[in-house]
Amino acid sequence: MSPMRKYWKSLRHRSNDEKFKEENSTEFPKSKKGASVLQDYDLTRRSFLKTMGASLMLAGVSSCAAIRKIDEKIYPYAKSPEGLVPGNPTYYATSYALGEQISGLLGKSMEGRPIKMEGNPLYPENLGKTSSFHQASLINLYNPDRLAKIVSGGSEQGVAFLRKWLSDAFGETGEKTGILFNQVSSLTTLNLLNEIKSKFPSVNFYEYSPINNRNVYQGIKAITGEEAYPLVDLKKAKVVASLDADFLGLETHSLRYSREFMSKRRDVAPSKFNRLYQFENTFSITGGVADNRFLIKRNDVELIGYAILNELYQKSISRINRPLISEIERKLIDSASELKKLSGFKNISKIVDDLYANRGEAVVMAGSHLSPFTHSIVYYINEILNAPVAYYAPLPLKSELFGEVGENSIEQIITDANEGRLSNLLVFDGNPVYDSYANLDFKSVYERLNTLYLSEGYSVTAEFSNVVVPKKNYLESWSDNSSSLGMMAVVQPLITPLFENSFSEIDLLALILGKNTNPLQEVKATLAALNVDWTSFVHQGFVENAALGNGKSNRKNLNLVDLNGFIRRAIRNNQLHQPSQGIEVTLSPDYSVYDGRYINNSWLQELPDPISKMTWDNAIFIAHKNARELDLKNYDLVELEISGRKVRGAIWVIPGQAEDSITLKLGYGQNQNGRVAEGSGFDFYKVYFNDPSLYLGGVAIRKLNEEYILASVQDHWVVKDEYFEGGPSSNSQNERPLVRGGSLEEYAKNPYFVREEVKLPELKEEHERLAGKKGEKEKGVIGELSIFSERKYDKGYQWGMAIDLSTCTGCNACVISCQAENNIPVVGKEMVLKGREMHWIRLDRYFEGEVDNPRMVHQPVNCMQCELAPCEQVCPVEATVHSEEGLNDMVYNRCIGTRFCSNNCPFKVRRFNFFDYHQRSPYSQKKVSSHLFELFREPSETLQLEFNPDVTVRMRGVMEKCTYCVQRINKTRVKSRNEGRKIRDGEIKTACEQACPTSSITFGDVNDPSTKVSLLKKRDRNYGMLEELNLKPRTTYLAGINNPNPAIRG
Amino acid sequence: MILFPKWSNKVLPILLVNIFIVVVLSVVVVWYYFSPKNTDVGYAPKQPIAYSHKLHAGELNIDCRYCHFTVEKSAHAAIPPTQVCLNCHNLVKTDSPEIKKVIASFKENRPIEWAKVNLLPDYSYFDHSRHISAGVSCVSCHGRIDKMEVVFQSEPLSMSWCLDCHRNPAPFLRPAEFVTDLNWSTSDPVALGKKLIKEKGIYPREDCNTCHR
Repeated sequence: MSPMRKYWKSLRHRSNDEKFKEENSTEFPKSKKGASVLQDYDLTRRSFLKTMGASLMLAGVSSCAAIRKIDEKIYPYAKSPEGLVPGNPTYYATSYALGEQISGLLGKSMEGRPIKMEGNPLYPENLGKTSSFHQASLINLYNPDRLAKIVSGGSEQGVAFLRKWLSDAFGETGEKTGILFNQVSSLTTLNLLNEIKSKFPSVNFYEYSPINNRNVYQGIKAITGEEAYPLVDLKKAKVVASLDADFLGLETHSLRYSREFMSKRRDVAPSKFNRLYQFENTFSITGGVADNRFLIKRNDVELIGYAILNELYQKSISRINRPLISEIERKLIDSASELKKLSGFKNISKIVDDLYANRGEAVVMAGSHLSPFTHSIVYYINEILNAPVAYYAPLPLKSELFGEVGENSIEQIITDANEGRLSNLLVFDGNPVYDSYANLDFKSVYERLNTLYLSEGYSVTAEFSNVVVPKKNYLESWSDNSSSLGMMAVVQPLITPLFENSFSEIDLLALILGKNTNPLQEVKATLAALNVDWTSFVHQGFVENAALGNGKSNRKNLNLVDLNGFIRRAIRNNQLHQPSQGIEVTLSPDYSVYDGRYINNSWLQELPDPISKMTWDNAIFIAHKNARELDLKNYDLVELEISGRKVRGAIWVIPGQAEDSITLKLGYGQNQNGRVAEGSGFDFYKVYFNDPSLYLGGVAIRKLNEEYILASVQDHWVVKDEYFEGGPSSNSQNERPLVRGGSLEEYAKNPYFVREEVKLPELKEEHERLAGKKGEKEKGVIGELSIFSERKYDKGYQWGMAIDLSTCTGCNACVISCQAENNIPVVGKEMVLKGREMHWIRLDRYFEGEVDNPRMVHQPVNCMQCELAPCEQVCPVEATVHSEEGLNDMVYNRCIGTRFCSNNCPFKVRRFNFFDYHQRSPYSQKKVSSHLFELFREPSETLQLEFNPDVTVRMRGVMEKCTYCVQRINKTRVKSRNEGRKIRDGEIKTACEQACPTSSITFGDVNDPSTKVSLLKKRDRNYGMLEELNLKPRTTYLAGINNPNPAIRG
Repeated sequence: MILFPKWSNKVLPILLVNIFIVVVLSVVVVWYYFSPKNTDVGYAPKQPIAYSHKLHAGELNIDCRYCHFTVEKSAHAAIPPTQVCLNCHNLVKTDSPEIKKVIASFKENRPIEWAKVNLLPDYSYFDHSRHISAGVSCVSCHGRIDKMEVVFQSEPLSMSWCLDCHRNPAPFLRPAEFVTDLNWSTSDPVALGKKLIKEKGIYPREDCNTCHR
């Protein structure tokens, strides 16, 4: 029997000192940062009497409920859209681009309102799956802070003004005029740009986004002579070494990679199971999944690339050629010699052994932020390994118009402006004043130019622009997203633009050209040129078309001489990285706001970061050891100084952070952007440089004697993981194994090892004992062990869920999908501090192992739908009861808010509406009252459109929780019964299951042994959380199995 | 010294009797007047157009589903779009002031603001299509619409009223083809209902989540 692992949620949880125990002894944390329920009021005798008096009066008023209800109106269509049935959703195929990642989506529309985004099951990149960004992109549409008017010089303008501005700017030839894009992925846009180029030959096109793949293209071009981006076939990869590549998280193709990578782990077959080595300085989602994770400063990650190449040389190249490469070898070893002490380096030869032994099924991946030279190195490594990688060139038309990737970027704008070649600049989306490289001082250049800014929301760029034009959301206009993988996806509007004078990219380009076309005509023209049938394009959502003119780039067969020359040149040009000294600072995109574009998105702001579990803020992530040395603790406000530039931020000590490496997440600190963005986080773009040498000087850390409270939910809803005295015995120290897992080795030895972590009472003997005691009187003693008379659930559908911890990456897609489906409110930072976040799925993140370099495990915890639910036993008003199909129903209209159920829930999955959060939101508006009960406030007009009409919007004082998406179950049941058939397996998908990029969540009928979920529950890895309490949870987990290299220990 | 006059002896019993009467009366008043049977049944709001179901559904015998055509497909038996009215009324009685309102709605693409008669609370979810396919007639909930000049609420639509049928559906079921025939009757509805329950496997659920979610 394997020793049970010790899992912990935070450093304080790990120490489990008396103070932590005391603070977490009640349901809501008692620390000064999060007061318990009544502590927000200064409750005196006088105010108590007042409150009670008012309550009594209100109780009296509410007994008048028998008054005839509100007069409601019905507004049928005058002319009904074809095929629209009120009450039934319509799905429209569309697509969404985030950076170079293009995903096919289906927008769910109810009576003309888009209410939920799902993945397009046909689109090859994501096959029906979505990320948290896709889910949350929906409320960008309804955001009440969206720009609604064309504004210039502080006053509102009309389209005529815009026309004039554009014709003035472009003149005859477009001289001294430029257009800056964030990321162009539309072929229609490119076609229009081509037209602009021929009409105004002098116009310049630029493209800049702070998180880009520029280095990858440049690196591959440097060695092959052709720009290309690698696409790894992870279905074929058995061994993956990742150099700080977050390929399951924020890198391009992450949804495809998540699906393909995890497809090798689903069956836990030792012959198939893949292995991931990760080198990184701070935990990423990918690092959390890694089997062997090596902590290393980000600067030194590049040296690991050299070391791998070096080792591979020695293995793969015959002795005769050795002298030829000795010089390079020496150089590489020299540059890496400093690293010998690092664990990652120590094990390089073992890793390379593993990679080399799996040639053809092994691949090395490199983070897009690494230097171009490292990408060249990685290219060559993959050539030696014969790795399953294909390379794709960018869209030809794009290269034609924009030049090489990264060539016409923010640097070029500054040069052009300084040399007098640019005086008018149109900025299409993005936020360059905020997110451009700090060392370039783009702001002062931008201020000098005559500028037009097309944007959905306000930002610092809008502040400095001469004309601000509201942009249409992607759900309001026609366009397309074409990827270099030879696919063109439709961007289809689901709603008429909410604001009259708003423009899409295509609208504005057509206006520049003076064309009278609309985007639909333009997209149709693009398709007609490709000879693609419009109907099938819109129906399917995309076309795969070789005529798009892109696809695989030709790979050049490299030989050793080429590489030798290449490396020699690199050495001569000083391209090789040097090991870093002192404390390094690294910057990464954020899992919630990405590069800052989602700063005003309340769903994403409240979404806990997968690693730090932080909401509403970013922080300075620092290793435990450094924090101790510098005498820093959580919430300490510090000032960092890097190359003369200063930034402030709050400290967050995080396990699994490389020593002497500080991580800053980008995208926060944009107070002007809106009511959600206000007061959230710190702007670290102030130290975002495009010149790596600026970081070499190290960082000065100055502690300010102030605190900044961060709202991390990592210690919220703690399930007691210690048994009370005399409870069931477990293997070690009286602990409850909530999350379980082990290595493939352990699993191979004993597949049932997770089940044996808890010793259940021998039920059979116990029955006999009881039967004997009670005599012959009672025959059926089943259920005798329980103090309750147990109901049998053996007829009809019995719903259940299985969650595979082996494949869960902790990406948060399920949490937001659930929020969108079930009208879950956002509560705000203050309420999160009090432990009142409302997410129905809590994604518990555990660490395991040593403090400095632990493993990370994620466990989604929703309502377990226990058959013997403890919550039901304590509800005084039967507001939570069991259904025949085994669901733990929550009846909102019966709930009186005693919160007994939540108190009695062992999993802590019930959420209480302490307030009507929709009313308290900064976006609420005064209600137009027409009835006695329509008092107070309501959500803003636009946000009301987002609600799912199939789910009740809960009020203050009501308990709520996961229902297994009972609205979906009911709709499907009605459909199946109308058609006189049974519900098919997989026909009902819960919102979390539908979104999950790795298909880790499976829902279905557990009463039917042939369903997918029943088969999963029969697996040896299957266990129920706290099943020893005889709660009979319907959600069970498959233990997480990983596959560390047995040759590498410690 | 006498503090209280003699008649004051009667005050207490009179008071007690009065209090008793008031309590009983208020219970009766609340019981009757506050129940949906009183507050909701018979509710007949004024409609923007004097549309007569009695004429269309009764005398002209137009099937319910001609206008409420989503009833078999969706949870809602939607009020028809103006287009549907104009299927006939672009020719019939076009000069009537009421029909002119309908034509105006179509021309201006502006919805007609019908007043909702049968109002369920937002936390209850009723599905028309399931009830129709099970063989519950329109008349069971909406009454004799074909006899109503102005539509009024004919049943209380309270939870106990719903449950009465869910717990004992047999008397309210009929073959699916007669669902919209409001005049239909049979000699022994219970026996027929029981037969239909068996044939179709009708199983009205009583779980909370059937209607509340």
